[in-house]
Amino acid sequence: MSPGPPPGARWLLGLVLRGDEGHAFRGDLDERFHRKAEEEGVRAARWWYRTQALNVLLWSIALAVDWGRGSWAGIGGELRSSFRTLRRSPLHAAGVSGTLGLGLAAATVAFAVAWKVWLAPMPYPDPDRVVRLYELEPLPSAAGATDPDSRRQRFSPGLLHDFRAHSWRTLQGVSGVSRGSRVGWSRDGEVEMLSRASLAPEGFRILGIVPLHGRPPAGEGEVLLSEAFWRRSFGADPGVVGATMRLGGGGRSATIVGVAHLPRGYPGRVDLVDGAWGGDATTSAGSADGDRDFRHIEVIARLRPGRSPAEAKEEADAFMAARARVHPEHRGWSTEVVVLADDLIRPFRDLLALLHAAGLVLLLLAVVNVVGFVAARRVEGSRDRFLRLALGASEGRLLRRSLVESLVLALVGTIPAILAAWWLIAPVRALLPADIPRLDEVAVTPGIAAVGLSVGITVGALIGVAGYLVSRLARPSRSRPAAWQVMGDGGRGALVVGQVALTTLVLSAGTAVLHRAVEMNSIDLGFEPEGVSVTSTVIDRPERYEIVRTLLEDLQGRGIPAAAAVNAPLTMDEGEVPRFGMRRNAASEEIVYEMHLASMEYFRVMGIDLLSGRSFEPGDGPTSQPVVAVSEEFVRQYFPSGTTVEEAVGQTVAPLPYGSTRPLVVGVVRATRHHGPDAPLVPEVYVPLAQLSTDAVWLLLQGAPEAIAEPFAAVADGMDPVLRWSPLMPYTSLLVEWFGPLRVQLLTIGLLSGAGLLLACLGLYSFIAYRVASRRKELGIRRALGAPDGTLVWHVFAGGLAWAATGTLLGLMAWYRLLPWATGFVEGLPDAGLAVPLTVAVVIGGACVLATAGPALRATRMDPAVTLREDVQ
Amino acid sequence: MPERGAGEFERLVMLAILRLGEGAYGAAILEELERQTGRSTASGAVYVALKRLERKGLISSELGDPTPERGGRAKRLVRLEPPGLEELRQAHAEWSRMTEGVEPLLEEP
Repeated sequence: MSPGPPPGARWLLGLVLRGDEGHAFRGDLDERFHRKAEEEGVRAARWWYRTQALNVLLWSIALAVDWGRGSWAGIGGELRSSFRTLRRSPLHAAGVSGTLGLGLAAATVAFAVAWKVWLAPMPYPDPDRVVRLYELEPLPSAAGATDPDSRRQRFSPGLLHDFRAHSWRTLQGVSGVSRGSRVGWSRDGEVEMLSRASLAPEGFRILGIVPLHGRPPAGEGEVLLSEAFWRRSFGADPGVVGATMRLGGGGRSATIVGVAHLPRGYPGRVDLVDGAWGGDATTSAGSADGDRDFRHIEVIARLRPGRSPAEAKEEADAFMAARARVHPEHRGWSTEVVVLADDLIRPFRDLLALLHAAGLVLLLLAVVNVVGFVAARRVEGSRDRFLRLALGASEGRLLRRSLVESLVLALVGTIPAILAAWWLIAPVRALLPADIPRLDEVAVTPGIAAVGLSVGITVGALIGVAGYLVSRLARPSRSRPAAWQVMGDGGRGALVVGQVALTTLVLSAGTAVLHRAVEMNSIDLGFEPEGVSVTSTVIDRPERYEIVRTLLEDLQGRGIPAAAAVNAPLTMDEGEVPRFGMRRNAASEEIVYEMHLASMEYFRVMGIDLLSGRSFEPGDGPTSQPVVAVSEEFVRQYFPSGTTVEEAVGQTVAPLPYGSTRPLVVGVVRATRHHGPDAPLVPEVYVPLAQLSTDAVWLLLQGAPEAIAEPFAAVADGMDPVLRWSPLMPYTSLLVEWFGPLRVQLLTIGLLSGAGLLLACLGLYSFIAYRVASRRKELGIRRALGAPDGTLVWHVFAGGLAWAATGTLLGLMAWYRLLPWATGFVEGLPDAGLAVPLTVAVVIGGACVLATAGPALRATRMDPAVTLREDVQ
Repeated sequence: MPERGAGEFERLVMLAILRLGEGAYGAAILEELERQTGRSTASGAVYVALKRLERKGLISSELGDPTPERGGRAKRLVRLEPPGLEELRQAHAEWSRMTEGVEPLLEEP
């Protein structure tokens, strides 16, 4: 005899197929099962049996509803009846629809963001084949980093040249990319700042960008316009191809060679693209040595069909090893090949996962509550059910009625929820970090709205079936408490425990994130950003340092301490600050440092402590001995172990890029954390602006923007009215960006905790209130026997707190279980220590006291005589 | 008021009962349907169709003897009632009238 059918499926069939008919039909299925097992094997027969069990379940529901011919005629009546019922109990209707709507609105917003930013494929062909390449520092890196994320570096021009010239087995084209730079466009005496990207013609092929007019740019002197910019500034005139644009203050002209629709998300929202990486990369930047240490170029490539990033890495690593024999700068370095779409979203993936999880948890909390409301309602209305059955209504009619009523309630909640999500999406977008790819495209589209509507309808149907099943289990009874025994205190109590546990979980996460934010806020950044304002411009002229120097002197003359800087703290994203390699000698290990260009007053204005030596002086001019100031982290990594900051002053270091003379260290300053409070310290080298400057300049001024805006405008306009300066803003506003993701986490979890706490309190309140109502007789007798108020209040409190404490304990256990996973979201969470359980205990305990206070006080106000008389009646 | 008439699938089930004669019961009907139509048939659909047909008075049923291979459960033997037979007659006549003379049109070119 072959083994029997799967027990789970048998159990399900036993539930559905009742009576002689059902019994016989189960026999039919068993018989067919044995025959199939002999003919096709036990595994196939078991699979068949399971599908048949589900099938019978679905058909039985259809039969119960009798959703066949003629049944639509009854739907109208059911709808009218449902609306009458809802009108009769508006509080219940508002509670169910409102709670469901709240959860659904949150879930819809979270899904809309996750869909566009995270789940929807990037808008270029075969996005899985477009990869980003990194140089990977030898293990461990000079800064001691071992994880690949910290060891990733961009490509040097020399290596990019080698990669482009090589014939690849796994790659179909390699291109350098520069994004996010700004350039001034002189037109009719006005200068407009445009955002610019650089991309080689291969880059266009890699991203599948086909120009609408013309062709991709092939060199620095050629530009391609984005379709949006072309429409905005040229009125979509196709004749613009071939015209020239004056870009940069120096009046350099570039030829417009094409117009294209650029995919949003990558290379990002740019006005024009030049072909800077289209020519010979080696000759486009510095000497061969400098080229290989100056790792600042983003590189993308397209995998050949059927090739994986791992295969490409293997080939690229072998190629790197071969290049290291010719260029020792690559010795020990390897490569990293990652899918571009994944890499773009990587910094925000955890944040988005949290947002998504938050929406789902809130929806789950709402559904749990709604099920509780509806189940209680059905039990209370069990007498109505038996009256209908007595009048001849079938079970099918009752199920249909329950379904229609729940669907109406769900729709009443769902439609406003989708409208609320549509309205909420703009504030949520504003709240999220602006550099999330495709964030500006996030919207509640008809597709998203349809998903929200489907979820609402599904939840409505589930609630309808659950309500019907609960009422079916009830038995007719004269009094409400007896009917409520169907779910009993245990059933409803379990719902309360579940809600409190979920809320505890969310509160724990919120407390941990808040703890982390406070901790980060207290980290010493190494500079003092309070009271500093910033502005920026692009000066593309040889005399730019003279312009800046005069400007700074004029500002000092007006009593405004000011400094100028390039690549200064916070003025660029982490990825944008160029990093260079430097060796003490040919045999030593390379350290990777960041170079900042700064004017004389920079350290004083920024509050960066000078630890030894001096700041820059007027004598540190373009023709004098090259000098640098270095950070204490630079001293630690570059000089032999034990070198003090005093000893470092007066020594020379290896030549910097763009130079061949060893610069003299004139000062050592404190290390700054300008990539965020939790970012690792990077060695820093400061070069006087007088000795090296670039066209993009930031001004740092002492004073609040509103106090110095007028004198600054007077000085700037008086000196050069053509230069366009960005609006003055407080330096601290740049810091806000660091806390952007944390802020969103806090806000999301805060909202979720608040909503969860509210829902849990509602659940606890209705549970305790019902217990008090159902035990009126017992409480009345206790009062009649002289029980003091305090005892009665404690009696009620203890009942509620026991359930809440169980939920809190379960929630905390879940939190500590999930902690390793949550640590992936926010580093340092385990350090929150006792803060989590203490905060959760206080908040949940306080909320539970509030939720139980009403019913407890009501118990003390009961008149024993009235209560006992009611019972006799 | 009892429901009248049968749907297309219900007619197929009645035809299977007619073909099986005295020995018609759930599992046999299911197999007959699969054999004649060449398609797999959902058990739940047959179960529901039998219930509906019985409610409409087109078939009747009685319990047979239990067998070990059925887990000790009895067969529910079904047979066509005169209204069921009449329903099939009418459907057959309609089908014959509608299909008369269409054979040449249905032939493959």
